[in-house]
Amino acid sequence: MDTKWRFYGREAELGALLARMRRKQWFFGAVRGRRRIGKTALLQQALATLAQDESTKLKPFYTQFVAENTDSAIQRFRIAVDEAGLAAVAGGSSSITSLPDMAVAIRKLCLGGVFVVIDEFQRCLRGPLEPFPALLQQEVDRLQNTQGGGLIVLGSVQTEMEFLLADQRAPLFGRVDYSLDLPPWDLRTIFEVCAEHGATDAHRCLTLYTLMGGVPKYWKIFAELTNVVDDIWPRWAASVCNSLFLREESPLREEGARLLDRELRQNYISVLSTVARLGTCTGPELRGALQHLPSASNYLRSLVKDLRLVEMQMPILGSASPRRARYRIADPFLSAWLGAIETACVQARITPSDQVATKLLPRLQSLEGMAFERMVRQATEEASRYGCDDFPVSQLVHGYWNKPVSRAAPIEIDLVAWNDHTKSVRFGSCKRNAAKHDGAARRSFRLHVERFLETREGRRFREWNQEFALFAPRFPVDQRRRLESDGWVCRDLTDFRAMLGRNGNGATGAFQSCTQVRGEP
Amino acid sequence: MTVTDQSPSPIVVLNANWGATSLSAIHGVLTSVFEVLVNALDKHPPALIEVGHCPGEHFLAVNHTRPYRMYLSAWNRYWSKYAYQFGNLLSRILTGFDPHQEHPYKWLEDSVCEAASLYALHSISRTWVERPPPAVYRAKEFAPSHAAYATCIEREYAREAPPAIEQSLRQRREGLVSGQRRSELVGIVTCDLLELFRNAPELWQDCGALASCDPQQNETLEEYLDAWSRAARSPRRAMCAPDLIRERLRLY
Repeated sequence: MDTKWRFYGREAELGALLARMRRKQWFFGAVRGRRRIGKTALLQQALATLAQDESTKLKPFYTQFVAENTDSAIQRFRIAVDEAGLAAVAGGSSSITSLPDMAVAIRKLCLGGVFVVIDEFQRCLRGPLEPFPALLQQEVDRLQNTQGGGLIVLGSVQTEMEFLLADQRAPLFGRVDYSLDLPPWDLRTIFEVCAEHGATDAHRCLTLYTLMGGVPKYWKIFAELTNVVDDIWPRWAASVCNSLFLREESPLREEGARLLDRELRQNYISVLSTVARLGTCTGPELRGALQHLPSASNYLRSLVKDLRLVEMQMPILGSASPRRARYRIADPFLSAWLGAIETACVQARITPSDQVATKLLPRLQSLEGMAFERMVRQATEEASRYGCDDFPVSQLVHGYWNKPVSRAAPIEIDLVAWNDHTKSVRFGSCKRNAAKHDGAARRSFRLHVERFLETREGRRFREWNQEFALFAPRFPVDQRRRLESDGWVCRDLTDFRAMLGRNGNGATGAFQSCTQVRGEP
Repeated sequence: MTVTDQSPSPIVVLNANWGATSLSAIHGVLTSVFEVLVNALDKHPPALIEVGHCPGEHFLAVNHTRPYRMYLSAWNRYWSKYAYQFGNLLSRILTGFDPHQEHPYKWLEDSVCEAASLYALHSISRTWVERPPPAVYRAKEFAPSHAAYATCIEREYAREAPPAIEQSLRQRREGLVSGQRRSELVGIVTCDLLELFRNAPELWQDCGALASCDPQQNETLEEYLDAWSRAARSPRRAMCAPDLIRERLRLY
């Protein structure tokens, strides 16, 4: 794992941000996204890329808000102005002695064509910086319709950023004219990072996706690990878990707790932990498990709608009633943390961490099963979006299940994807272990599909071209040959990696990554 | 006419979502193609060329105002795709080829422009090794990818080729070649022209003369090639491109 870390993916987001910054018209932008998602890196990369075009003219200014006290916040701001060599543009750094002075200095910087980037802006919601948004509002209003420069605020706590910028009572409400919600990496980027950083085989890629999802900073931490045993999967996986989470010096040992503490209050955490423990659950199942918390439904609703930490899945083609919904943790890292890692971290305080890591593996494998389904759906959508000719879909890809009352004749299909134009439908079954796609499993899969085709929702597909696809991280050659000769479509992560990497655009040129990426401590 | 790094570039890259790259890097790629084709065709575009980005197909906006405006669907750091699309559209400007004007010999003009873009790719694959554009990060290492991209397109044409070129040409005589047949014909002729021009790069200069031939004034392909031949003939060379193309296409 000696490949140097660089800036990966994010082409569309970076391109959109650059296009806005090049317009030479002042703007107030907000970049939001979960902790560690790469907001600061994106901004710094944008500034570095822009500097290649305007090396003599570009003036960036970066500062990070801290919430110690007003004086230290102002002091830090002053130092940042001096370090950027922009004291003259800001009207002299010694003149910045209060929060109003800070707001005025930001306006002066913007008028001087500077791109002002304020990181950790959510800290203005409470504490010593609380008056700052109101002060900034005056300056932002005065900057409207001016030329050049821009003010971009970054923040990781979704609810707090929403409150500061999108709440009607907030001083800065309606001021943001460029907004970017940074999602996790797409699979194409994850495959690229895996290939460059020693996780070339499909099982390792799945393990890392299960543990880290598409959060760049976690992948960077993984890439920088030097003590991972590069061996057969169980030893390698235990070693990765141990190095990332369980040792005293492990870089992500406190990460899950920090993430939850910053974002959530205790009742939310109870609901999240229960969803994680149940894997995928319905509303009644969750309420049953949380009888001590009468308002669990309200917390769940907020976790889905406002915080986007829980994903509400609706059965395909069904009504949008929440009664038919199932819930699961939306963020793979959080899912792994709450589902396995958190407990293991506690155990590792009193038990040798390598023993805890080995005991963690069965639970990790079970989490990988769920993560693999997520990967297959995401890969199917991405492959279709990039124009790969495997199975172009015209509708989003879903799984299907019937109502919980129909236990006598259950229907559970991992993937249903279809194309209205070609009248084709693909039914998919996902197994973490290819050997599990045995005769009995395949018969059961077909039976579930037959039942589905008898339902009101499934009837429309009866006359369509039907494909039965089996998904596994890796198919042995013989098994694939045998299954394909029986008419099954076999797809594994190696296939998806090839599909997503092959785009008809030719090779990609190297990218001059920004070397000074700073961010959250 | 020689265009060098010092010549002022008439290319303006317009602001758009070009992905993770700087405008100067894109400009560097386009300028290398510009140098190759302007030197090969010995012709300079009479106005500035503004280059924008538009997802979908690359195209040259045809209007009577100048500067020229073209849109590339290439984005991010897919340098070969930029070179290919820009080469194709630049050669349309240099050969006076109006893609919106229907006429019976469009397939030939299309083939010339297609061959020009592939020629440009092969050329910059060599020139980037010796003179990599400074704005393109690690351009030297990337250089072989241009030839690989061109070869890939040529292979695709070879795969799609119908059994006999004569059949397509016979059809063409009966009327406009359209749709799939036209694209097949363009593919075959492109590869044929590329080989021809690779062996005698000076023939590219004749393609600049295409702009002075009015296809509507010529009833047959032979007449059209004659007109082109008259416009292109140079006392310095015994043969010119239209004569060789006529020979190559086995029209007589």
